[in-house]
Amino acid sequence: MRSIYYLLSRFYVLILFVVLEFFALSLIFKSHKYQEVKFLNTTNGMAGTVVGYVNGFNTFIHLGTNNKALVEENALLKKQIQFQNQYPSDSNLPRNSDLYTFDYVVAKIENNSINKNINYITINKGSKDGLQKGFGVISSNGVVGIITNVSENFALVMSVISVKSLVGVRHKNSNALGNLRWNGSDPNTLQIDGFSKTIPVKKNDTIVTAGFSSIFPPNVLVATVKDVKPDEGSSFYDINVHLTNNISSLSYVYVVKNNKKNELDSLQRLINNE
Amino acid sequence: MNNKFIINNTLRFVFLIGLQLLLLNELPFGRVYIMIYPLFILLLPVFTPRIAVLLLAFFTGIIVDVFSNGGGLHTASLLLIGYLRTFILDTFQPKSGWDKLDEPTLSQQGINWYFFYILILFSIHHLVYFFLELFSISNFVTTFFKTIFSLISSLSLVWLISLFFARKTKL
Repeated sequence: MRSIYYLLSRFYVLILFVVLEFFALSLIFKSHKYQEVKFLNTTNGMAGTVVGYVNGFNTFIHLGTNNKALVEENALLKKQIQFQNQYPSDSNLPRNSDLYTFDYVVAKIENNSINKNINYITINKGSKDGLQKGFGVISSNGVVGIITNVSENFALVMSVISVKSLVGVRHKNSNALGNLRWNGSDPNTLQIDGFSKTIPVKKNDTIVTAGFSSIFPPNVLVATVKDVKPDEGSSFYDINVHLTNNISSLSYVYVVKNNKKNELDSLQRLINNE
Repeated sequence: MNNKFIINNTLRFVFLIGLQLLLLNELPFGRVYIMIYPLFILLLPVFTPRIAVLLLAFFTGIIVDVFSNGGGLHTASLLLIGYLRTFILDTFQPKSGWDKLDEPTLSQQGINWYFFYILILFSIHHLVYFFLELFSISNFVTTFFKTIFSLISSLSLVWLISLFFARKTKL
């Protein structure tokens, strides 16, 4: 007993250090394991509110660019409506929202970073608005990321500018499939792997989402090709791309709610289990 | 005298954490991540009880983590330099030993001493932070360069801030 007391009195600093460090490391490992920031994050009420207040300034700075993006999107949608009116669809079809696979929820960005290896965006919608872990997030002109944490009023989005992010994409001209990743160096340049050398990929080609997962709808803009070079050791290209949206200046995003996500996921789990 | 230390360090805490969370976390330069909050722990008076240094490092780390979605990364790396600080101070103590009221600041310890002091501890902090963040060595080269660039930027900013305040206290 006495020796324990002696040890404690002599090494109490080291012991305290080990205990606290162990606590911090266990939080980190939990975050890494489940691909989400478990405890210390901005989705808890107070931090989210404070951070959102601070971000008001950022929103103000980018008002012009965001306005322009919205107007452009409006023009595009107008064009599509016109097209639909010319060829009216069968009016007997039930206009039930269940029919539409994807719903969109508008959310405001409260906190945003692009300077880490794994970058998170805090948005001001949470489980109260029906958001769930695994939902995709897009902006008016491109893909933003995937939700990893949800609290009552906030959600955390892992942006595509993260070394752990992986998004299935498609080459628009040839329909070839690949994966969008980030190597962690330049946040303006992302990488695509999986495009075979047999397909012609050129500079400025458009990359869109593949749409095979339940996360993103198909044909959402992702990026344009910056440079292409064949990988010497394999039958694939090394491709660098520019994202079509500037993630650091975004203020509003759309969360993609897939109404058939549970059905799709359970079906896929069935296949994986076999 | 004691009150002066507490007031000084509280102001320093508010200033550094404020700058980190309001400005540096939101900078749109993705190649570097400037972190200056460790300076608060480094500049605590030499004879601050080691327990107090550790607890302050812990709470500072938690605050930075909560507001920048760190998930424990800042806490872990800051705790480590909070622990190692004593050994660095012991190794590099002046010939006559530390005085009771000494602070490891630029104006008290001089340019050379201060430069190596912040260089060593900031390097440890940045290395631990970036490699814990990745938790793999698959992107070793990229992460290494990011660490170096971030370290240079952080140290430059720390140096500017220190010079600014050092001059002010002398006047």
